[in-house]
Amino acid sequence: MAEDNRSWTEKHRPRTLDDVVGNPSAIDELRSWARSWTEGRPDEPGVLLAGEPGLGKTSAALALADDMGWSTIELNASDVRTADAIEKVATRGAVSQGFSSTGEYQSTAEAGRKLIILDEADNVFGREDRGGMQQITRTLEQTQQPVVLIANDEYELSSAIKRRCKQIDFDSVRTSTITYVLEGICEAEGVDVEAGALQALAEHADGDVRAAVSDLESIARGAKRLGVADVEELGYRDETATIFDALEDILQADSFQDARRASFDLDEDPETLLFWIEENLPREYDDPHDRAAGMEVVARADEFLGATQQTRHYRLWSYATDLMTGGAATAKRKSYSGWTRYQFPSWLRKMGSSKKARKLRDRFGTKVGTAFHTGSNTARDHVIPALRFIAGRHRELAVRLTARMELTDDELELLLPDATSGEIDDILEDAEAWAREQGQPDETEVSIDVPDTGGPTAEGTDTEPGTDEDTETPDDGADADADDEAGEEDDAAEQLGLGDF
Amino acid sequence: MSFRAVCKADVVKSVIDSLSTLVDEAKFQVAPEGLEVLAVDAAHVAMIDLSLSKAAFKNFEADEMELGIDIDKLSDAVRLAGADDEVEIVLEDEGLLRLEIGNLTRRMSLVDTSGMTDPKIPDLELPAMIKMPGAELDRGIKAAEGISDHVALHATAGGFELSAEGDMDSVNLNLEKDTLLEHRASEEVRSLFSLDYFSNMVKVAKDAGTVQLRLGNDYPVRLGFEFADGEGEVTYLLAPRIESA
Repeated sequence: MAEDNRSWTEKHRPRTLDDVVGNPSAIDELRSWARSWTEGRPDEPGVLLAGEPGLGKTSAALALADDMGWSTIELNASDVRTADAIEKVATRGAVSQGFSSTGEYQSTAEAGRKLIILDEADNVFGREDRGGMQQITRTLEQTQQPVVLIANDEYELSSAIKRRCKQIDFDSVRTSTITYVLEGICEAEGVDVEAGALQALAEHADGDVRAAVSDLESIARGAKRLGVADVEELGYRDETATIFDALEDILQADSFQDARRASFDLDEDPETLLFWIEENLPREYDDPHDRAAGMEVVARADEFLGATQQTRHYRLWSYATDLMTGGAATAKRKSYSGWTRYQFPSWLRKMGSSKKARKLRDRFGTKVGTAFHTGSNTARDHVIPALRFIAGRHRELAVRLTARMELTDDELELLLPDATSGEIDDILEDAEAWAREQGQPDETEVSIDVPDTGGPTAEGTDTEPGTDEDTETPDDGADADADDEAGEEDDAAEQLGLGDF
Repeated sequence: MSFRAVCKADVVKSVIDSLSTLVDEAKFQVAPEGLEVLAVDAAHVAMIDLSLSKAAFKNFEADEMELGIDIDKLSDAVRLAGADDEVEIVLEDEGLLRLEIGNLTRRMSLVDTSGMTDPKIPDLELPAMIKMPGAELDRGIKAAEGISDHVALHATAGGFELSAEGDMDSVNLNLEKDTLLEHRASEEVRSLFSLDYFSNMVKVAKDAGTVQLRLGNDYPVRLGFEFADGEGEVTYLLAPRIESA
């Protein structure tokens, strides 16, 4: 056989779903979704494979295509993923029959489908490219071909996308399963293995199959024999220790110095580290005294962090770090060892998962504020509740609001919290139709208050009313203000094309 | 390994236009008798087979080899040449191509071809064959583009029809049998295609003068034309739209 330069993760990728390790129920679900395509386009034309990196999501998608006799078109992390690129590859591929990469014609009439794979779909949606997410939605709407989205963080995906996908979660793969995979590879590559070596390697990978295979390749490629010592060496080579390892070193340390040193290699700032220690110290210290004493020191560390923030004296950081590591370690009376299930800090998790919702709320507020000539806070506190009340009772008005403000589906969901996704879709469709009837929708933001002076002045008029409002409107509560606002709303409502309601 | 070719800029431009409708990079298979490119587009919906014989060049000396070329780069370089200017293309080093246009020299790196596939044009049974002026077809496409994103091609014993339907509007281009340059349709066939692709293909083809269409029923279309005074040939294959149930 000629020299094979492919990496082991490529070379030993499973060829069929039966060979994909771990996550048996996810694999079953994936298979039955694919079979549903044999009877025509199913209601959920896409699947979303969600889970941490390295669990076999991409492998499963590729193996699925092989099993079904489908060809694949892939948009990988390394490809450009603007809306335009997604359109060119995924959307176009989704509505037509196709040719395989070797040039065979595939017709859906003869079950010759192509699987459209969008890898790392959660990373498509960069800050500046919101169009990417919409383009994926469009692809899912139009597709006559099966689509697989792969994501590490499903929270990054819009609800419009998730509604059109069947979600399948992938979990960590068990150490024994990973060991089994590694054994197979060693056999295929002709590497002799010392007992226990692969087990250690698999443990080190912590559920990530790809990492395990890469690690194995890095120490065993070209080698004839793999010993336990080779694997141990791998541990020292880790440049940045994982937070979990560091936590164990800190909390189980017997001396101030050991605990302090454990944080040196860690690539986290003190604020983040404190969240981790605060979350996990009570999990490690099962003795009530140790818990109390430990948290006391953690609280003290937090004070130093606060002081750093207030005074910008970053020298204070080192006190905080020393307290949360060495201080927390020496606060305990008992000594702890063994494995503890550490958790991701719940505070960070909550902030992370609400980040999107908060961003959306702000965006919606700004949009409404612009249309009603008010700040986004006023829009949120006063205008939106009123709009919500009206729009919830008057569908036609909801349609026009949507068209005029060019609301996206998730913004519309904020306006109509009780609507079902089907109703939301309907309103969006009607809004589009209505906007088409009305002609150019892009005049709306500009033409309020100001006679239509044509394009070039658009920017100027956009900012003027805003500044006016800022200077004129007195503080909340004043009667005049309320009147003002009501008047303004009427005006705006009229300008929005809602005058006849 | 050597490669040296001299030809009119126009010929290179035709090659660029034909390829750039489908791909950004292409693998040129070079032989002493000429060159050929076979490629499938990223969405796996269309294919191209482009061949250019030695006779299209003023001068052509080449060993067998593969050249991976970034079409955009080539286009940038050749854009500066007038249609009748001569372009000299030389493989300077492994991985480096030199273009001489008058007193302008442009060096560009070649693209790795190892990841590119070698598709074969599939043998498809396409019973209907029509030849017509490219400009005629282009007119129909331009009209269709205004109202829809796809177009139906329809061949009958009596002639050829192109039609598109929008929400309310429709476009029909009807060509009777005797207005066509050639017409062969034993059975009636009809297929639907994305204008995303088809209009770009036709745009390139219309400059060639005569285009040949081969059609089947809900089957790919084969669009062929010649360029470089008949020394070059392009065949596009486009897969049909899937008509939703």
